[in-house]
Amino acid sequence: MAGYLLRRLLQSVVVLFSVSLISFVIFQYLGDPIRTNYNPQELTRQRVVQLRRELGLDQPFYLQYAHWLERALHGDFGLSYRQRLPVMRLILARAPATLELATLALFSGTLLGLLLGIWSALHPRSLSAKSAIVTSLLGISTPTFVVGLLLILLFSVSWHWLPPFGRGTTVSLGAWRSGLLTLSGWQHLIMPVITLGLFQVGVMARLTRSGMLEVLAQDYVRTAWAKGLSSTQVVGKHALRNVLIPVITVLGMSYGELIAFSIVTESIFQWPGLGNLLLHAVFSSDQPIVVAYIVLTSLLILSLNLVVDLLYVALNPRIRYG
Amino acid sequence: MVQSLSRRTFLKGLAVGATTLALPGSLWQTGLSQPSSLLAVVKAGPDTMEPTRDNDPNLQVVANIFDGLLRRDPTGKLLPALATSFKRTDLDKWEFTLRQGVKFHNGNPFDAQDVKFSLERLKGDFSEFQSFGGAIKQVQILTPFKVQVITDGPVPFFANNLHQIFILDQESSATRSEAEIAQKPIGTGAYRFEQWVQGSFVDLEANPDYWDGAATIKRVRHQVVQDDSTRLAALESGDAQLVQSLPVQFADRVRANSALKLVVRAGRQAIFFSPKVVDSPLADLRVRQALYYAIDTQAIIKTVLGGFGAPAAQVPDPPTVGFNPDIKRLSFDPARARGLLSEAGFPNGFDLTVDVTNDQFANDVEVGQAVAQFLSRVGIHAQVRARPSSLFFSDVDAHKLDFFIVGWFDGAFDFGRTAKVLLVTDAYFNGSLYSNAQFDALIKQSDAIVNAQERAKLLQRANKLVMDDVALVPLYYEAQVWGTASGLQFQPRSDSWTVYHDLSF
Repeated sequence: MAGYLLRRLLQSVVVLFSVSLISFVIFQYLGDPIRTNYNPQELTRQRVVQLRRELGLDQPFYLQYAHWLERALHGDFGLSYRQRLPVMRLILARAPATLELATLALFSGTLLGLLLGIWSALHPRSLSAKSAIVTSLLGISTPTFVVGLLLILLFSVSWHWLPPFGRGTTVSLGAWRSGLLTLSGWQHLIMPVITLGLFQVGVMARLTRSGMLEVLAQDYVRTAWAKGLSSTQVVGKHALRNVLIPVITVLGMSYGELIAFSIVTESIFQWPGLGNLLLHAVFSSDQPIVVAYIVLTSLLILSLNLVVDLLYVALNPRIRYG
Repeated sequence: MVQSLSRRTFLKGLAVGATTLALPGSLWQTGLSQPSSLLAVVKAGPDTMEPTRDNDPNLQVVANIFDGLLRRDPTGKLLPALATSFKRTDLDKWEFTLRQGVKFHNGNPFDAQDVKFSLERLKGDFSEFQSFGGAIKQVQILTPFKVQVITDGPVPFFANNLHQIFILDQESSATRSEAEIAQKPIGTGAYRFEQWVQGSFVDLEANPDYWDGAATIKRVRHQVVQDDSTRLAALESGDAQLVQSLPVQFADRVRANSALKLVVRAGRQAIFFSPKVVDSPLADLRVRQALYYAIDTQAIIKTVLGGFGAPAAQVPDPPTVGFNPDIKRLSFDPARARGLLSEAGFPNGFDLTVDVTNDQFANDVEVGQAVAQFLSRVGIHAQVRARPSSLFFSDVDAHKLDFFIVGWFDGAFDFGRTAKVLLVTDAYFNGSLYSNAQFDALIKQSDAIVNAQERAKLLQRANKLVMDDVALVPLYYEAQVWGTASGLQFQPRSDSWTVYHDLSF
């Protein structure tokens, strides 16, 4: 087990290293950040030379990368070209908004998907189950921006039920600005969570349904029924446990996907999270923000996958890592 | 941007259906619906509260919190603000008489110390007005309410730029870090800063002691919404009372809605194409004239911009010093264009790449395509290349492009300043390598004139000179399109800033 952990950690380091290198290389071809971040009317040749030196852009690529790496290992991702503030501070200020949105979308989407999947596996011929599966297909195949705009059009423009943008009233808990403690915060969360979580519902429902159908046909489940166990015990205890293994794999990957997908959702609802920060940074070639975002997101996804792999052991004792 | 295009068409199609579904009753209120508060929605938000950042998304916020020595009215006219009067006493000397009895938001009184501090602060690393600040040699305090500024050589547009140079409180700023000033601004302006949530909104509260009378709108939320459709939704749902940069394709929807008002104003920014004049067929004046004759600007305004734009014959806009009303556009005349091309030795045309950005100006790609089509009709083999601005500008600076789009307005309302950055020989942003000794001499000469009117006349002459030489092919001034609640009294400004003191319900 310890050997396995060590191997996984080493792999993660290699992945992080390559991810940062690739995102650094990309910026070598993305043009001059000075022209996109400074107003030309106040720029002079001399000032541009000075700025390039201050930002380290006059150095060869490998030196720029080495300096970045050295500072990043100390948790310092440099200053944003545009805002001239520490990138880490900008990311930490925006992270709560995205994490609250993605987590809520993940859990509500997964829960609903699981219930739909189980229901439709237990009653495969009922009309409600069939329509649930068709709806889940719709959830998977409808582009995020269509769902988001449709919701805004109905719930904000036509019916005035929900606010079309922003996070509403937030409460500061130390450095964490939370929208989960106010009514207005929850009102603002509803549409973005549905928009982001719909895909999750679809994936989870279909995954659970097919897994459940397979498991329900197996001998040990028949034995369980034959023993006269209640349906809660058969489905909830014996069948579901085996269905959950692939579900948890997908769950781990989904969280990363949700954070990535949140760029579109955040842009539609002007959600002041990481996606919005990244989008803005990409358009203005604000390299320090983009590189830090990519590296930190990779780190998050790598850690989640590790946690998921360890969870397998808890769920299914037959799985062992050596 | 294929996605946003399909998104727009999608929304348009849905709109008809959805409005018929309208149900009465609103379960949700912004809490900002009292008539004395305003929710204003803008496309681009501020990056910082630091007052020395030279871009409109920042300036239009800090302009509410701070005052300059001077300010501009909605038409662009220069008016007194923290200075009640000024005069240029010599080529390099300016004298300002300051307003008495003004207080900063923290209660500190305003005087000459604050002016000296704020002007000298422009030289700091964080400032984007470094070259303007660098041109200030000395700020002398003559009396507590009189200052003299000595510039490093003549800076003829010095006063003309002071509407965007804001005055900070010297006493409190000296002990605060730059980062803190950039988070919690303290000015003398019509609004006090309340809070800023990055990427979302800035809350402002009217300053009851404002020297020019307290604002009628007591609370303002300056909200960013980048997505075009959501910005429209904010207006249609009644959440926002003022929306900046309304996409032109939604104009008809806003017009048709009796609760809303569409407000359009010619903007400051001129869009034009720069022809490279070295090692290119465009080095020949006749070819440049041919390009000018070949493009039907009116048609571009009508079809690409939905009618929201005004034809331009020059770079500066009317309030800019050096704007010349006598410069007229060349007519749209493809036959003449063909004739000029044959005369210049290109009866069968030549290959030309029309370079545009795809993220910088409204409809820039479509404008590029239209221009290329017009050029093709007179026999030039024109191809469009649309790229992100970071890549595009690198090539402009390296003089690699033959015919490229430029959008320009002068923040200091001065054509002399524009010329020095854009058009004189070897200017830093002279991507077309344009060089005209007579023009350079006129611009140099204009620096040595103290009398503002005489200087303006000379700049007008210089302006006419480059336009006669077709140093650039002008197209149009971009229009600003706003949507407002019908009850809002709103006069759009030439600089497109949201100055909330001017508004009322």
